[in-house]
Amino acid sequence: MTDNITADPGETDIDETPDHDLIRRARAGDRDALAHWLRLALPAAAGLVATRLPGHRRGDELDDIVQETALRAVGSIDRLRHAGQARSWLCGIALNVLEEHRRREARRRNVMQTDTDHIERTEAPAAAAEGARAIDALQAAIGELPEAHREVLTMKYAAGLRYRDIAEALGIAPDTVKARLTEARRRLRTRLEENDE
Amino acid sequence: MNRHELETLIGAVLDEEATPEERKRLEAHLAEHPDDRRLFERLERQHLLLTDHFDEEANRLRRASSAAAERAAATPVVTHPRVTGWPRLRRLLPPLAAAAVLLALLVLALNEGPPEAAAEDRSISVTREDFTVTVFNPIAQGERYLFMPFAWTISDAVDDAYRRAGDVRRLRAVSRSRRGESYIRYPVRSGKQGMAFVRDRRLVEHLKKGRNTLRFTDVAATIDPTSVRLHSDTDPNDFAIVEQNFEFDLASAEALLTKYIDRPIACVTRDDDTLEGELASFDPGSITLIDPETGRTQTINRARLRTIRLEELPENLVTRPTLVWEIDVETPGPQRLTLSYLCGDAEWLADYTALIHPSNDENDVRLDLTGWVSMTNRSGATFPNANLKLIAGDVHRVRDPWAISPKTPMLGYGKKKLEANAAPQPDAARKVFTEKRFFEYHLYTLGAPSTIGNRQTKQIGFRHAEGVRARRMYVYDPRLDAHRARMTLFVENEKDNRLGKPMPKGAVRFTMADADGDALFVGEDKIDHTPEGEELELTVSPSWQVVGERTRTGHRRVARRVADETWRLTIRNHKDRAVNVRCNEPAPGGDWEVTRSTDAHTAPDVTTIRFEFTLDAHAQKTIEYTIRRRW
Repeated sequence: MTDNITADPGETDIDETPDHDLIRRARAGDRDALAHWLRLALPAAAGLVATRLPGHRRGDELDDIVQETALRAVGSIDRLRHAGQARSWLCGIALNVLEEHRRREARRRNVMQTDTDHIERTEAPAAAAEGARAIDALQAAIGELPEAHREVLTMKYAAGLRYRDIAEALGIAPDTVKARLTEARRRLRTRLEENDE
Repeated sequence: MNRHELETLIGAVLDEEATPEERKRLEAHLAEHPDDRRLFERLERQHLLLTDHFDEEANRLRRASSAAAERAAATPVVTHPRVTGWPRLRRLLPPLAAAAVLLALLVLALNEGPPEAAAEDRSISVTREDFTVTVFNPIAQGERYLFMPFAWTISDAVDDAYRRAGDVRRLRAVSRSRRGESYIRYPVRSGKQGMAFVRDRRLVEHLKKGRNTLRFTDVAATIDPTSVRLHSDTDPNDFAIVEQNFEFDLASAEALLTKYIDRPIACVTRDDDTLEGELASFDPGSITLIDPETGRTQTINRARLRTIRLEELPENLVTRPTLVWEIDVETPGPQRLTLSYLCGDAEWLADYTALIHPSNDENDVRLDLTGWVSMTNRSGATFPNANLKLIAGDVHRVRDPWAISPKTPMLGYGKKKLEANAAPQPDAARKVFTEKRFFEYHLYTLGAPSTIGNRQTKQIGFRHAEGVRARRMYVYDPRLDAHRARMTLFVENEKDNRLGKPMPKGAVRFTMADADGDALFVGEDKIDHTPEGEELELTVSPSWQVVGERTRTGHRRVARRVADETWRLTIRNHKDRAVNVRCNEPAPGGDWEVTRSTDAHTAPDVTTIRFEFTLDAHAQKTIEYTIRRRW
């Protein structure tokens, strides 16, 4: 009897032209390469920002922050030292832009003294989940996850990134990504089962 | 394996991040521990639910990233002198030294390993060498179905996700019988059918003389088993397929229970009560057990159950769809094999962005047109480093999507032509598409291999033309909008207009720079497959400054089944400049003629009377015509 083994070529696949090559070409003025790299790298940064923005504010604000991130990246791409860390560099820019955006928003709200701030604070995911349907329960359960878990979930499912890309963007090890995803799924499962009961 | 390790492993398999060894380890574990299969299924359902939940978010992120990339890339890149020479070398020395030490250690370690280890492993090994994935445009076929036998499993999981999400409208899975087998008729979201033709070349080593069994697990989940073809490139005469099987009896809970009808099982409730008996029937909500001695039956709500215990795992259940061949070879040794098949749920679409340059000249509006290919793969398989080809054109399918003969001319006989087109291109290192005519279609080949992940949308630019000339017209068609004319651009797809290439069908999104230089979205339209030499008619947006109305001012019966109708058409231009206007008046169809008109007209088709004129700034034009119709 013959033994049968089915083998894969392993994890040697390279999804796209490597970052450093695209960045080198972008620095040389190749706009196609620049746009291509941004298309590859921006979803991770966008996912990171989306994790930190409340759901009801993810429309125009997300677009603005991602746009500003892309523009800043283009403006300073020449100062990027290690092309291998370009994606985490881009995520860093995105977080800076988000922080500035938040500060600006906070100042604006303080000046205006509107009720919006109050509404945003009180509309916690857990409260919204009460009596809601299953889809809301999932949304609420995701909202209750720690930020580190939410961001890997968003980057995995919304940005469609592979472990190694998430790891690169967040500056952590791929095994950490794997562990966080496992823990996030376990918490979600437990929470949803509690709801079912 | 503890529970955390198991969950991590299942997660990696579901995310398609597991190595083949990890997958095999999981399959072996699940075979030994049937109870853990329930955990696998729960995690799988959750995975689908999450994928579905994040779908909208994924689209939003893609849109945001895509728009931002496009706009930012248009910003000039400032270059600064870089550090070179000795200072740069000095900075690089420590990492270089570290790498050299690591390399030396690695070489030493490899030399100390047992040299005979590899030689002793004589089992068949299969290595993927290259892929060619030819993706087709989605074909509109009304409601779209998966007629796959194992879609039972897919649909159950998806339905469960929808059920949990409270969306009962999607629960429309209907079973039906075809060719004596039980199939699922599962409507999927889009009304269009996407498909891909996959050619997968593998090196198979350690084949022995005589009968061998080959198993390929890494195939698309939506494979059409009737289109599968395997042949040897090394020696076609010394390679005989005795039998080919597609194993899709996946080891889901339902599949396991089906095998246990009329056999003893034990159900453990959440209260730790054990209920034993022979399985009489089951459905998603309940299980019916029969006591073989007394003949009494009891129906148990599955929500009450914690575990279902089976005596053993039935044979012939697999955790992933698997292609299995029994082959006969005369000469032992390696062979290069080519597997080809059709699979569903892969499609591509073209997207165009058109930046309109501000202009007051109605006959010379300039556009920058960029075309993007968006390829989506949901076939269930990842194709690493695949040669990607896209077929533009609507492929004619006469039967249901999965009932294609493997000898379908376009794919069977056209294969050689596909291979000929795969010859290295001069710019093969670059990821750009080269376009060629192919049969009744156009074939776009990507210049360099690319990994096509499952559940991934890949976007690659394929066309860019600046300064494309367009003619602007305001089209008033009361069938589409009774009051407003629509601003429409007419673009000649000609070489002297910087185009002159076939344009695959897709959406066109228009942007225009405002006074601050910011590009703003101004409209969207779709184009069909448009060959060279044809004119594109692109509706940008309704205009609220060029408006119209039509009134029937007279009706007279001339004779039996003959009548005259008089219509008055008024168009007003509130713009500060003259505009070109086209009025598409609806004609009744059939037998008609315009007997009187204040303006010249044409009849592009039997349902349209067309008037074209230029309307000065802040002017109004009235057209009156009489149409005689017979019926």
